[in-house]
Amino acid sequence: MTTNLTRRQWLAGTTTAAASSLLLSGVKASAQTFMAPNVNPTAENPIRAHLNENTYGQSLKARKAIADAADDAHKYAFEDIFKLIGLMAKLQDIPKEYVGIGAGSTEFLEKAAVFNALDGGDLLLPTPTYGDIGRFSRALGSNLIEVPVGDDMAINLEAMRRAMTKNVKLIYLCNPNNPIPTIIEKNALKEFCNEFSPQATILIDEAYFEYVDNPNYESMIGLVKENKNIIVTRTASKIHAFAGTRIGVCFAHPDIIKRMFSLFANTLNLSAMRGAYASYQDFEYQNFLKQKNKECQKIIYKMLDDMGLEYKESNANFLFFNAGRPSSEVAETMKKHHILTGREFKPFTNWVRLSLSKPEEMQLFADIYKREFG
Amino acid sequence: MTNNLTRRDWLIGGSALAGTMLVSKMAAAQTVPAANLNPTPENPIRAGFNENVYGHSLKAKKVMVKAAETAHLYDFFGQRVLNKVISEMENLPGDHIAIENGSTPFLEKAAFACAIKQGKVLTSNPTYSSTPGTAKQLGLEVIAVPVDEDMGIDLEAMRAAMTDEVKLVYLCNPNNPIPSIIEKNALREFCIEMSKRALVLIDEAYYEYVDNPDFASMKDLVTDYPNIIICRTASKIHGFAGVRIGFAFAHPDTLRLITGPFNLSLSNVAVAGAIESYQDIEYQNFIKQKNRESMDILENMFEELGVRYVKSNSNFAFFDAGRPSTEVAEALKERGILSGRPFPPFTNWVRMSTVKPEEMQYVVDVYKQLFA
Repeated sequence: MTTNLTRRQWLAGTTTAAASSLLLSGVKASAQTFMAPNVNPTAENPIRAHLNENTYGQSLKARKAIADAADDAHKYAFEDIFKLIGLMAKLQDIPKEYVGIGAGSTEFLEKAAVFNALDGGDLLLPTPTYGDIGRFSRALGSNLIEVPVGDDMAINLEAMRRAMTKNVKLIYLCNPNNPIPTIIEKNALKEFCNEFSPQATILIDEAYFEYVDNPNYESMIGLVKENKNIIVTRTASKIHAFAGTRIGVCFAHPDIIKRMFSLFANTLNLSAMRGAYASYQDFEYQNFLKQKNKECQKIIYKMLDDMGLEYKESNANFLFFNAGRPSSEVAETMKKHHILTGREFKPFTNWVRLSLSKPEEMQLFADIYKREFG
Repeated sequence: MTNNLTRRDWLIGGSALAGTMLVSKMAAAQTVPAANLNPTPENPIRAGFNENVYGHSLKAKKVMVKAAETAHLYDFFGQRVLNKVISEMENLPGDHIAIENGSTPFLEKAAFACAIKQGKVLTSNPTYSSTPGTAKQLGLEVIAVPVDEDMGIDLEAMRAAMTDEVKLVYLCNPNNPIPSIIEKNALREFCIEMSKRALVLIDEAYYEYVDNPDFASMKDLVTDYPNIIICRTASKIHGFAGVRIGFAFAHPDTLRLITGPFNLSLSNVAVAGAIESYQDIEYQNFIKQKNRESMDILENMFEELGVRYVKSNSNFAFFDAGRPSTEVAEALKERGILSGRPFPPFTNWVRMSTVKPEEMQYVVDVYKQLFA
């Protein structure tokens, strides 16, 4: 199910042709196609507001590159890895020896957990946060030190500082965090990284990096060049819509990169790499998605403000709000209307994580939510 | 650049319609990439990486195009379907099967699991380097036992080299770069015995190509012996080298050592394609037949030239070129043919992957011109 949009419509940020012509004149108006909003959701085809996906799908350029790659996909993809590494290095202005590519960022998180277990180290991390590295560390038998977020629901660096021990060999920070879309103030984060990186590896998971529009935020990729013990991970699963395609990027000192990607990284899907190569250069599409994400945020903020519900300003493609009732109850009710919302995140059992899909779908969510709970 | 083949062509194993011997009522047109008979350094004959140069089954290709439409979403359902398909085909409980991006993640993680126990790795030499290479990278000691005089994996010597410090035994069967197999009864006994002391990983990447009564998969051991892991890959006969699907069969407790709590890392397109490809038995038979044709072409040349070689159980040959394999590789590369890298200590031996029979004939002609 797709819909046609012209380049002008992207730039004007609307899907109705009538409203599009006034703001900008699209000289190079190229037709674009992507997934239509799902305003008549069914049980089989629900609105997916539960997994922080990009429901617009992939950039047309990426889709074309992926389709064109089909005839080469029986070959081992050695050259494509280097090509994609080269692009990432160029885009981030970092030497290519500092870049690793994985099948999503999962691979880096798992490997960091493995190396920590090999070193016999504890893992220090905030809670709640993205669960992958914690789960994997537990499976490997590592000890976890979990530090609750502060009263402001942001990652509490002060408390993490106090919780630090000499046994901690890995610190995990998701920035922006998930399920709470807060960021860590850039100078405080830099200081924290510089203070603890001599004794532990610090992994900054920047999965939602592309969505941030906040002067207090900064990627820690700049530290990677100066500091041997910092790993920054990114993923194509979010703004690039590669959740089911799998490409992740990791920036770290060449010693860490070598350790992570031991012999040869032949775990990578060739068409995914060609798709990523196109997608990361399609800035127009990324800008379009950021704009749509903002529109979604506005719609839900308005609903929350109208209803007087507490929420955190979002720095990502999802919101976290206090429903004043169990999130499981909200999920069940909304599921009856064929809208999927996030699972429960302890201890914030009354808070709902809502992924921002498309403005039209968010409006439908807001209308139904008000009806049900207003 | 593609070539049309009918199902009949597949069954008779020739690409020329003229030779039709069987009549098929269901003659469905199939398309495979055409043979590359004018190779250049830019568009070489790829006889270097043990790939399936025919590419994917058409059925797999078709669903992969469709699956690309949902490649922006997380999909856990497809993995469950693929698990069920393999579970039924292999007659193994679903919880004894894990799926990854090729078998590499399992081979690497087995080395990680060994490292966490601070163990040593016992393996043969030469063999596929993923597990031992990762182990070395992690600073582990790797006991690599040379193959025997017949160039087969030497289980007796490995048994003698076994110590209590060894926590992982890695065997590739058929082996690589030497396409030998381990006799099934001896292997079974060895696996059971070693699994009492260490994890035993049998890498069966080339399993589908074997046509040898002395070979058996060790997969049925995994339900009774929790320390035994079998790895398989779709990179070979299924043509998924650049798509990435692999399997591990083992007891659920053992699988936990080599997989994450849930696998987010899989591509929807790859999973959908594998579901079709593993059920497309006709295509696999076609590839096996083509492999046999190409292997016959190669082995005929070895016989003709009086070259020493190991009977192949796989999609590649290993032969003694009587000169450094690097010299062979360089000369072939200039003529647009990629062959295997050097495999010490057999530096005069060449690993040559089968390609399409037409391409194989071309390779043989060039080789004879150069070295006969």
